[in-house]
Amino acid sequence: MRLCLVDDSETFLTYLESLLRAAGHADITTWDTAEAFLGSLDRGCPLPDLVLMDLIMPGMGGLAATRRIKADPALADVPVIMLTVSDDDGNLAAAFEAGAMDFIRKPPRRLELLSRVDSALRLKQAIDERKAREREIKAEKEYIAAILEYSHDGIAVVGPDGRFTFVSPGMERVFGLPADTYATADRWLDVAFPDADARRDLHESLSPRPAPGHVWQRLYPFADKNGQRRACQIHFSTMPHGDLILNIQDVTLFEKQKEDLLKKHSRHQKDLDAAAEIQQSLLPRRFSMSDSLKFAWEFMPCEDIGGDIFNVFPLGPNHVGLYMLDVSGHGVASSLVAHSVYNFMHYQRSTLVDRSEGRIEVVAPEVVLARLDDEFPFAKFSKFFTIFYMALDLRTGTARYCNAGHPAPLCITPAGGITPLPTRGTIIGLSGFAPFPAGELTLAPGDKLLVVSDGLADSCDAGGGCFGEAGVRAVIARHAAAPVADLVAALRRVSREFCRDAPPRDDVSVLGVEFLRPKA
Amino acid sequence: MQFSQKETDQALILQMTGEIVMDGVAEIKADLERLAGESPQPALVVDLAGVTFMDSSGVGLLIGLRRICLERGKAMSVGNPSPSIKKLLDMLRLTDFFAVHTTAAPA
Repeated sequence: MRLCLVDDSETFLTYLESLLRAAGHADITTWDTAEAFLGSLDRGCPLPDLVLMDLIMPGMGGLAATRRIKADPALADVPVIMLTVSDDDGNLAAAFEAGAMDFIRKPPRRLELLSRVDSALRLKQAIDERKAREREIKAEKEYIAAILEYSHDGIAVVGPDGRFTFVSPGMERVFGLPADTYATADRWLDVAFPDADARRDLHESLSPRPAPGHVWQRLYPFADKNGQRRACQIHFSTMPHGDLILNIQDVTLFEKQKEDLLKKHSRHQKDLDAAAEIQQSLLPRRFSMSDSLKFAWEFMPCEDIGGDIFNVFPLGPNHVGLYMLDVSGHGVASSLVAHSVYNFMHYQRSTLVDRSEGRIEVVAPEVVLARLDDEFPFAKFSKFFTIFYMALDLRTGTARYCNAGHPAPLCITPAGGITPLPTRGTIIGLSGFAPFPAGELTLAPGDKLLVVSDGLADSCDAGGGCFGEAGVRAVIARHAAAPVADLVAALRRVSREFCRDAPPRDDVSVLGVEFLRPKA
Repeated sequence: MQFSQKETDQALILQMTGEIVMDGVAEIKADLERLAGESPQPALVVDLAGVTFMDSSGVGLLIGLRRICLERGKAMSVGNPSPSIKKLLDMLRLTDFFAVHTTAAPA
C-alpha cells in the first residue's frame, strides 16, 4: 500500500522512511511541505493509503492540510496520522477535529509506530473493500431498477396485507391508470377489471398464499384508462415471505388474432360439415328396392371430406343400375367433382337411358364410361376417378358392367363362392387413352354382389396395420348365406373394430346388392 | 417426399424418394411441372426406385406430368416402381399409359 510522509525535517523523514522500509513498506513518498504534498495530489498522483503528517510545519501546517484533505470528496477517504512533538491536549483535540484518525508522538517508538501504521492500513483496506462492495451493490441495484423500468411488461408485487409493495413503470404502459390506483390490490381490481368473473378470480388468486415458488398464469379481460376492453396475461409467482409477484402482459392483439382465426376455422369447418352432409344426402335410401332385388350400404366418411359416392336406381321398367366412384384425393375439390359426376350419372338423364324415338333403352356401361371420360378429362379438374358401373336385368339376372380402375367387385354365392369380376379398364380422365372393356355375368337367386372402395381394405389400425383384402374376404366367408344387409353391417362392424379409434384416412364405401328372384 | 434430377442427352430423369402423398404433392408439384416443361431433352423419366408409397395424388401428379410432356412433344415414362406401386398402376390399368419400365434410363 502507498504511504506518504510529510515533514519539514529532512532528518526525521529519512529516519521515518528507513524505519518503514525496514518493516516491509515499499511504496513510500516523502514531502517537506504540506503544499508540495497537496500539489502532487492536485497533479493527479496516485492517492496514498495513509499519510503521516507533521502537525507543525512552515507554511500551511498539518492541521490546515488535513482539513483540506477531508473537505475534498475525492481525498476524504485518505487517512491521516498526525505526528507531533507536543502532547498538548488542545493540539490533539484540534488534530482529531481536523479529521486525523490517529496521532503519534515524536520521537516515535519503533514498535508503536509500526503497529499504528499497520492498524491504520488494515482499517483503510477494510474501508476500501467495503466501499468497492457498496459500489457493486449500487450498480447492481441500478441495473435491476433499469430492467424493471424498461421492461415492457407490467411487474407488480402484492404483500400479504393486500397492498402493492412494488409497481413497475410497465404497469402504467399496460393499464394507463394513475399511481393512486395501486394503493391496494382491491382498488386496482375495482378500477381495471370491470368483468365480475375476472375480478373474483383475481381476488381469489391474490388472497391465499400457496407455497413459495408456486407459479401459475391466466388470461383476464381488463379496461384501460379510456374504458377500452383489452386482455392481459398475468403470471403469478409467490415469494418466500408471502409476497406475490405479478408479471402482466398486454395480449389484446394476440387474443384478437386468435379469436379471428378460430372464427375463420369454425366457419370453414361448418362449410366442410355442410358439404359432407350434402354428399351423404345424395346416397340412396337404405334397403328399398323391388321384390327382385335388395341392397344395403355403409358409408364411413373420413374426417376431411372425401370423394366417394355411389348410387342404386331403376333404369326403366326392367333394369337396375348401380355405381360406385372414388375421386382421387380428398377435400372439397374431390367432393365437388364427385357431386358433379353424381349429377351426370343421374338416372333421368340421357347418359344412362336412351329415350329417343319413343324407346326406353338402357345405355351400355362401356358407352356410359366413355361419356364420363369425355366429360371429365384430367385436365379439367386435375382429378381422375375410378368407377364401377353395372346395369342389371331384373327379369333374368344378367348384368353388364364396366370397371374403370375400381377395386374388382366380388360376386358371392350363398355356398360361399367368392369371384372377383375380372374385367377392368383404366381410370376416367385419360381422354380416350383406352376403350373400356365390358364384362357380363348372370346372378342366380341368392347371389350377392359386393362393391367396396379401396378405403375398406386400406383401413388401418393405430399401429398402421391394414384391414386388407384378406380381412374383407374373411367377413364375407362368414356371412355368405346371410341377407345382404347383415353382410354389409358385419363389414362395417368388423372393420371399425379393427381400426379401433383410428379415424379413416379415406372415405370407406360398401355397397351390396342381392338378387332375390327374377322379376315376373 | 424429395426429388433430385439427372440429365442425359436424351432425357431428364427425376429421381423421387420417400412417400408420394397428397401434402407432399401439393408442395413440389409446381417445381416438377416446371422442370418437365422447360427441360431441353426429348424425354422425361420419372424414376420411382426410391419411392416407398404412393397414393392417388401421386397418380394424379404423374398424369399431369405426362400431359405437359405430350403437349410439348416429349416422351414420358415411369421407371422402377416398387411391387406395391406396380400393383396400383396395374389395377388402374396405367402401366401402358405411363410406359412403365424397370431400367433407370430408357435404352
